[in-house]
Amino acid sequence: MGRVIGIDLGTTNSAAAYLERGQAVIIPNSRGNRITPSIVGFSKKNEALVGEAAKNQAIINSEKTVIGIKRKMGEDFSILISGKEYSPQMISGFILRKIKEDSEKYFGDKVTDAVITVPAYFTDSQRQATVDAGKIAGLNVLRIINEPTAAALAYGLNIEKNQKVLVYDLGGGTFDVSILELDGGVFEVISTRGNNHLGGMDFDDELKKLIIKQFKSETGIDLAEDKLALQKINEEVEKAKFVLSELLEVEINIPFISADNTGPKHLEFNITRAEFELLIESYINETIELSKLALADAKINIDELDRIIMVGGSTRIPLVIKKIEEFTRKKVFRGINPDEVVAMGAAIQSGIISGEVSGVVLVDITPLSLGTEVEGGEFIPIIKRNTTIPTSETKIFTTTVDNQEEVEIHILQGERKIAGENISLGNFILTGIRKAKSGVPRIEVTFDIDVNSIVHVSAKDLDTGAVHKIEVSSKIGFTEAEIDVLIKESEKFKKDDELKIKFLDSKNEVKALILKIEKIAKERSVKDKFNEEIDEVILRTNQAIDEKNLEELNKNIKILNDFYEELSLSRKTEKSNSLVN
Amino acid sequence: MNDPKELEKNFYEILNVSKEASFTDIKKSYKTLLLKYHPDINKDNDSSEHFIRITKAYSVLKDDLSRAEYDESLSTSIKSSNQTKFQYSYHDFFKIKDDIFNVFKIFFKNISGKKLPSIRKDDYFFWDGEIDEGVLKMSAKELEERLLYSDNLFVKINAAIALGIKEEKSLCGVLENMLSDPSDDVKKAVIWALGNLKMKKNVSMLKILYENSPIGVKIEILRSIYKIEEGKSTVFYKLLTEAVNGSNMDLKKEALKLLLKIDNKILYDDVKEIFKNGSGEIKVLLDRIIAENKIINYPGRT
Repeated sequence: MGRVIGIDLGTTNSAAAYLERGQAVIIPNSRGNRITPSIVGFSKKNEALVGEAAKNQAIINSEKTVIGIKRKMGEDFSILISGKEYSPQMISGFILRKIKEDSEKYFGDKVTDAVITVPAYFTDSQRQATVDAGKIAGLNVLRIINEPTAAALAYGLNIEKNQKVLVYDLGGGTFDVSILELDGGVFEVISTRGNNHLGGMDFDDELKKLIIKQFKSETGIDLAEDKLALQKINEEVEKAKFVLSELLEVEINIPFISADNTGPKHLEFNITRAEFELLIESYINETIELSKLALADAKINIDELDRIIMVGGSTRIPLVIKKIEEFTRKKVFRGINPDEVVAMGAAIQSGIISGEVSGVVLVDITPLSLGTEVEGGEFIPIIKRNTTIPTSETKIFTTTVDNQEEVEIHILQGERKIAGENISLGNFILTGIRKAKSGVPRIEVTFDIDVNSIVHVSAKDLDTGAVHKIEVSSKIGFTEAEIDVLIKESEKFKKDDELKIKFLDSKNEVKALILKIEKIAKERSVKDKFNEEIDEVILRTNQAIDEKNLEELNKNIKILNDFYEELSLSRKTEKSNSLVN
Repeated sequence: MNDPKELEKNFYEILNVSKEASFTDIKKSYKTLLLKYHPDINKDNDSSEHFIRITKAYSVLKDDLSRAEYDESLSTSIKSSNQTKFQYSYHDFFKIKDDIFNVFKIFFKNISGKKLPSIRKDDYFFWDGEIDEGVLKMSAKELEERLLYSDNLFVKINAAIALGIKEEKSLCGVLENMLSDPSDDVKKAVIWALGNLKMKKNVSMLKILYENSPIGVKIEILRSIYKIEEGKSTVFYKLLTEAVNGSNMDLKKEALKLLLKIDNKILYDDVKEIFKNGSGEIKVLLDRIIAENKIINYPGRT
């Protein structure tokens, strides 16, 4: 087995960490940065760019750039780029592959396994999609753990005293709140709440909407229709948001953002922190409401909380801190960079699994109730939310009409009474039931939630003993065979890309070289054998380019380089000779 | 698969405590068992089953009410449901967001607001829009980005013109590529900008483009070639005389206007020639242009 890393696969940024002598250490990416933008772009030649490289080209290639894919994980969704469809799993797979490769460069060693974090409130489909993304990236996903829990691990390893902790995790795209009890090495999650579509991106969107609205009323131009302008606004809005965490006012200037028949139009926009807070207040209030519910679920009074841990980039916003401090009547606890703490916790979890970290265990819960749809469209929960995982429940099902030979079981996650309002994980059909009067056959269905919070269902006909094992993976999931194909594709993709890039590099090098040689050769007063020789090599080189023959190309580059040196030397002597004359 | 003895254990036995144990004792024992049997730590095959039994037992005994119920069921030997009885109603707290836009005002204004009359359109500038210092201060790269990637034609046009005003010779190649833009207006702006760069190598390219272009573009090409060559090339002269003798009135006027500006000796004579021997129509045109443009010095002035 190669190295194991912990990965925080975030909506806007991702991070990786590993365990070094029991301590979690962040792994810088190939550019030396401690976080990597979760952005994937595709070049004209359909090469995948990830991270900073993708972010840098986003402005000129917005149609082929994917941002915030985490919010689409587990959904029946695909993006069409240059005629090829990409699922969220595949896009996340590109990000994970980049992290894997950057880590391998950092270690000089293979990375084979990973603990990947997800929002605590992620459903089964979203978790399954994350596992698939890891597999597509060539990683063995050792464990999926919840982000707030990971953060608590990173914060709490050295704590002796028993504590009750609230982890408030507001990231780029998702919000989670978890209540944990830390006691003698046991990190036990008591309750969790969240919203998978609430985060910093929403704050950006509010600011963007405002800017676009105002610009339209000023100039009559609708920037929402202008991709280049939108990209420029995106960049500036993100920066402005950061500034507003430090200063009371920010100015956004984008010169020449648009134009009409009266000439170019500039955008200048001022916003104070108070104004920004008005924009985002309803979102923050929602997080406080969810925190209250989590506390109620845990049956813990606010005063019993020992610590408030802040996780995620958006917890730098002063209003967030103010609201949570008002609500908990406590100072929030900081110390570890909120962008890095989750990846560090994931690295520690990898150590717990491998045995490198001892005397510590993470005991998590399932965030959503799991159940089935019964006659009349009602949802019957079988495993209640906030149940400690792994867990297992068994229910006896029967037929509703005489001689019924099949039973369809519809599995859902959620808290609503009406089945249709919950999240469907999939259907499975149990066949071969012995013919009998309705209500006589007894089918025992077992629902397991494993330690990754992933659901497994199996059914047994108690009369015939027939056993059906069903992996719940909804229509959007991949089969093992499909994943194999995707892994191979992504590997091939990478190999082809490397060759292509090498070829392009050589091609550019040789073109420049030929130009230089031709220039000097022309200056030379005498047309001699040497010139002919050069012409011949140039001809051969151009042939190699046409044939895309990298080996031949590199051979000729060497010869041309020698020629160039010789020519430069002879030119110098010629020049000095003429000076003497 | 299961040890029958294990399955028969009651919750107290599973948690390794007596029936009289306090909650604190139960909790303490529970935590110890978690550390021992969690599948992360205990790699035995049945650790998961064991762990589940422990957590279920605890979920019942941790709560006074469910513990009392369980105790009762134990004494009456009725198998208990191990489900907890707590359930919370689901609060739909997602509020409809207020229309926050009404709450405050934000202003936009021009960055510099200054207009620069000195660089405003010259005689040959077809464009009415005004370009200010803010745009001219931008880097060539920023302007290039707008020229290449904007969806807004006005942005492209202004970017091309700004590059022309700034005489960004480094972006000559980019401008050349933009000559294939589908919009004639963008094309015109690019041609104008290339004229400002005054690079001789662009003349032949513009001449080729001239052949199949609509009149508006042709006029712009003539003006640009005039700027690049300062009227001193035979290519230019050929195009002009063709235009003068052609059938399109706008093109004719433009060509004549340009001819009047030429100070080259040879062409000077040619203009004189037109005055002397040209068709009546062309002479009338020339006179009108001279009058309209208040031109005082021109070839063939008598």
